[in-house]
Amino acid sequence: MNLANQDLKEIRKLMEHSTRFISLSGLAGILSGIYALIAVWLAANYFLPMKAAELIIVTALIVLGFSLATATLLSKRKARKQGLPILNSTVHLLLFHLMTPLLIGGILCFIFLEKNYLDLIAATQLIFYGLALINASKYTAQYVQTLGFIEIFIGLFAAYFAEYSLELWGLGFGVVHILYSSIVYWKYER
Amino acid sequence: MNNPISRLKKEFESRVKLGIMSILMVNEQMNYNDLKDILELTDGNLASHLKSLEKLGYLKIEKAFEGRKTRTTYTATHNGRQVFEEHLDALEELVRQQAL
Repeated sequence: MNLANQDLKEIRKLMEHSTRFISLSGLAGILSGIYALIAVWLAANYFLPMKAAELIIVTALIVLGFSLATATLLSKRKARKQGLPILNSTVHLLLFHLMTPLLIGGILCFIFLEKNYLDLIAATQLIFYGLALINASKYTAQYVQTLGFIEIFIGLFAAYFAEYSLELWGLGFGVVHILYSSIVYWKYER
Repeated sequence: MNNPISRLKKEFESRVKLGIMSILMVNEQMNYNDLKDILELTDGNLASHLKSLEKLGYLKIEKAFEGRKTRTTYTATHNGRQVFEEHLDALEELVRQQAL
């Protein structure tokens, strides 16, 4: 009756693979962290002395765009290597649950920019990004949820200690991404 | 207590039918191409299994027009879910008995 065991294994595998996009690339997370640190360096050395808040926001948006593109590209490659299909329905659910909080947070940041509440922008980005990760984690690797909580925690700090918001933004989007993704990469992808 | 082997459903001896129902248990609905991709099947093969599961009343087929193309989605029925769960219970019991 080893067949029963085999059937159960197969059922579990199909249930898992049909509901979650698990081919998320850890390498993409590391690269996103590096993009974020470059942006912080640019902001600290050039944009902040120029008091160019708009430039900082534009740079943050470019970092987001590059990060999403890298994640898409590398995750597709990983799925191909693993021989796992990329199911439209799962990817749609994942993107919908990721992008909804992200877009709302983005709009809020633009409102804050317009009203000159600049101190709150870093915190808002971190918190909404964290919420987006928690929301999307149902449809991808479970460890994304923990990363979401870490980002929210740093975001709340950034709201309270607004004078350190650039450093905390770099910690959340840069250092945490690099460290967390490296751990994931070593654990699951080598 | 009766023998779990007798509670196994004959129709789920087919790997494809077992696979289809596993996927529909955890997804509200699934379209044809996604089913084909995840089960790594060819067209004709999958279609015939889906039809016979529909005949058994285990799943519902819905066709919707999306522009010019038709989109076919599949949903497990209440009855289908129940039967599949009974089959799962029987499988689990078999494995448990084996471990004793």
